[in-house]
Amino acid sequence: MTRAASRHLIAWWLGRALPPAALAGALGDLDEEFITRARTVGRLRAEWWVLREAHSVARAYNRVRRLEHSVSHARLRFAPLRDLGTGLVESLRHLRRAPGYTVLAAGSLGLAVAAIISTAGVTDTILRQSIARSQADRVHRLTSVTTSGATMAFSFPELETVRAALSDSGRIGAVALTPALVRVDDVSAQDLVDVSVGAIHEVLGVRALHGRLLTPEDDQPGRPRVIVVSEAFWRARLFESTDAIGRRVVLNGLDYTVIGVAPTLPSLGFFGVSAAGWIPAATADSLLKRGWRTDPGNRAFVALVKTDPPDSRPVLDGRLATATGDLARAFPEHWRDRRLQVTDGLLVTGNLRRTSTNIASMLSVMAAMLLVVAATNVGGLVFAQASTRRRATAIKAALGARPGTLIMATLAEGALLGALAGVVALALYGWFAQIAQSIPVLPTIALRLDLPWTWGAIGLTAVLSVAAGIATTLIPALSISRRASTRSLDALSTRHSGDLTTSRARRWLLGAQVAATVVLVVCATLFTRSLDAIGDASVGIDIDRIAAFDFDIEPAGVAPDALPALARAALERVRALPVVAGAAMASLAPIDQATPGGDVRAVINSSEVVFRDVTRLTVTPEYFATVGLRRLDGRLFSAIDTLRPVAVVNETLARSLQGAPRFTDLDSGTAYEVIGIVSNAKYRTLNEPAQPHFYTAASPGFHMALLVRAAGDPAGLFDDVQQALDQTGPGIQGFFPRTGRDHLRPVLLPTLVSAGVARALGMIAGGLATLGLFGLLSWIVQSRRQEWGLRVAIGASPADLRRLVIRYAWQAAWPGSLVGLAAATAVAWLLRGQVFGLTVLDPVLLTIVPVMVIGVVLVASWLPARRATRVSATELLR
Amino acid sequence: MSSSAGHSAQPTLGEFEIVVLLAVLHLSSGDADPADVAYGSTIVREITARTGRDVSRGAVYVTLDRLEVKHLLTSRAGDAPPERGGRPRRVYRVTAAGLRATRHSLSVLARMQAGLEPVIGRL
Repeated sequence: MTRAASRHLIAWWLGRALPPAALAGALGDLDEEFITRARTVGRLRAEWWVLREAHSVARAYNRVRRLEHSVSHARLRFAPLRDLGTGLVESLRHLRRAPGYTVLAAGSLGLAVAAIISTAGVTDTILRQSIARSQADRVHRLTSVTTSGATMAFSFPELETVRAALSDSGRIGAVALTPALVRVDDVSAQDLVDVSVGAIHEVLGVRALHGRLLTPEDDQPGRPRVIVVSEAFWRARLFESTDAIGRRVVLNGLDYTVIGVAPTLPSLGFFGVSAAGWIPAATADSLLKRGWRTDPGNRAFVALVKTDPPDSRPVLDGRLATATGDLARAFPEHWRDRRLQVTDGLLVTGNLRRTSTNIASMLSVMAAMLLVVAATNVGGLVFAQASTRRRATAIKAALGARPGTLIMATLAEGALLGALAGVVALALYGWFAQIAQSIPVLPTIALRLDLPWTWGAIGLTAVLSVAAGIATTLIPALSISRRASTRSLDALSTRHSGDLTTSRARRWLLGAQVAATVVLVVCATLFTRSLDAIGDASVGIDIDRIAAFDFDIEPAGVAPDALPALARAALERVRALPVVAGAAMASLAPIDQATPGGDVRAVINSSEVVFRDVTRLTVTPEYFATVGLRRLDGRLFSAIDTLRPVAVVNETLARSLQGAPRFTDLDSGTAYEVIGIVSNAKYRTLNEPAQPHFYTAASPGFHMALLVRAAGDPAGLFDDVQQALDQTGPGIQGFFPRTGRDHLRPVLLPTLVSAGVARALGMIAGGLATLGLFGLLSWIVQSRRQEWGLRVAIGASPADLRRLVIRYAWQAAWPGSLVGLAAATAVAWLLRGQVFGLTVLDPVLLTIVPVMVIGVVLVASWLPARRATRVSATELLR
Repeated sequence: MSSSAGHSAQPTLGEFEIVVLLAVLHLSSGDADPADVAYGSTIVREITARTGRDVSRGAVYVTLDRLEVKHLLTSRAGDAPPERGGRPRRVYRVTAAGLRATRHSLSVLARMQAGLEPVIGRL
């Protein structure tokens, strides 16, 4: 290779590796070195040396370049994070400059997220909460179930038999919730107390907050009367006193000593209420119905079993069959078709659980739809804001901002809005959790729901809010970046957007918003009308004229054989009141889910026929006139019938009996003679089918329901009745006074809750849809000012402009309305089991929806239409 | 001896950077042969002579560039004798910042080795 060729080669080689500033010096050095070395080692070796040195130089510079490239490439890899960070800073600046937009967007999203979180919280509390505070997997409900599937509580003798049979496979605790007149110092109030059998707190895994809990030794005859109070009682009645232990509390006139304070627990028998305290069964004679220790039909106890040791569930299951056999031998009439069963230790079970599950599903869907409405509303707002920053976006795109940068900027704004919405949602959830601590059910009973307030709930709220914010801004982000990258320079040169892409996207969002709003409004209307239908539906009795009281507490210090006369005197005194048109007593107030049922057998056409789940009530002779049941045939009860096995049946049972003069109650073994027929009524729920039912006669007594027929407003006679009872004897009170309508509230509670929530969600959604439409119309009016000016210049009147704006509004709203109506019809069909007395294609609904949409259109377009009429022709000159 | 050396704002130089700076200082100091100037080939020779080992020319050039970027060296176009094909020498000189950085780095080394004479012997 000649020197020249070598020099050229080296120059080319190093020219590819070295920066220009270093190249000349390096090449000169190599030339100089070649000449110096060639004199000493010869040209060939000098040439070889120069090539080797050139290689060394090129390699060193190439290595540096590769290192720099990998660093810069690493920087590029993290560009999305850098863009996100930059976007967050810019978004924060923008949100601070647009407070109205920020409040509206964050508020809308926060409201919707709060609805979802609240629904989830209520569902979690109602459906997933277990009874036990600890070791929940070992605690189970113990019930008896009939062949027809009805579950029952236990009487005390049944409970003792079960405890003996299951003693080696688990620990059993049971409670009977009972009303009591509780006096602390000089203040008396009606309250609820749990009569405890066995180690109920131990089964529930509860520890004493102060003092100690009940032990089996406390439940022995002759022991001092003691009570463990709940934390709520300790706060409200003992004022969180540090010397509460040892204080005296009077229950129904008898002294009890406070030995401990336990956490407030939900009742096992009546969902949502809590007992004021727990007393041992050995000291509960003044609270429970007389004969509770020996009467197997007096089923007041709800039982729990805790498997002990933990893996003894199979042993327990084996023992259940044995215990059932023992019960059948001990109480043959009551256990002919019953067996023991163990179910999950959940707070809500049975029909209430099924109803609650359906309602929870429904409310969850509605809350999700509200989120759709809010998200589309915010999406529209983001579009509007993006329009005001159109020029800035276009300049950024023209200067080389990548689409990803623009997308990240918008998503960052969505994330920030979502974070703000999370704060709003948490505040609203906290407020709702406070309300849920005391939801009035009856005038003297409030439902208590302890909604979860944990780090998990807070974290879920935060994640859901931020995700909703990002999802909300995704479509606007993609749309904005696409427009910016393709039409950035056009946007700089035009004075108005005429932006069809934005307009289309916003219309789509608005359509989704209107559709979701229509569905929510339809659901709200369905539930509200369902409530009205329930209110108008006949329940078979004069529910609006009745007041009910629980006549539960036997006065202390009265001889047992004097109690019936005392009860009769109380009833007579009440009946004598001027405001009272009639009074009676019954084993239960009418329309109560706890109305007992059982099987009856009759001989019809020479064949024995068994009728399942026939409900029954024991009533005093004046019952039928008091509640307004019509006599259809035969006669009603007289005083002497309380001593004879006679029954009055309803129409449904009479039809089934086909004239048979007698039937046998298989539960008690008693054969009854049918003496009369009365009209049908409702006995357990309002939407039950025709239910066979019979009445038996009884004398007035304690532990019955006192029913009073009012001469006027039933709520107006509470005080008079209580006074009359008090005058009969000290400590005689009517517990939980309520009107007939109030009495239905627990039955109606699921529908009431659904209607209330649906109405609220529907109103919110309607408001958001109106705002969304208003925003779109305002943007259209603002962005087309030149068009309005042109129309005015060529002779359009203000009325013409108003009509044009309203036409825009209608064009934006009607597609969503159609979709919403179709979806609402499908939803109405799905809800058919939850609504009462309505058909799916309800003509009222089909009328309400278009009226609502027209209303939204008119309200939302009013102000933008006014603005459009104020545009002058001089807009053309701008 | 300052105990606050750890808080100095002087850049930390690598070993080879110190070697290159010292070579340039040798070549551009008053007692150097006036005919020598500090450019690529003479710096390589100076380092080879003083360290007793061959050094990669490419590593020297890259280090010279890096030190110039750090403003510890400056360069100028020197003369262009015919044996270089008309290409001027790229003559380097240590800047005041480079001198301070060299002084700082050497003082750090001196402080580190203080008291270790019984172990490593006198240098």
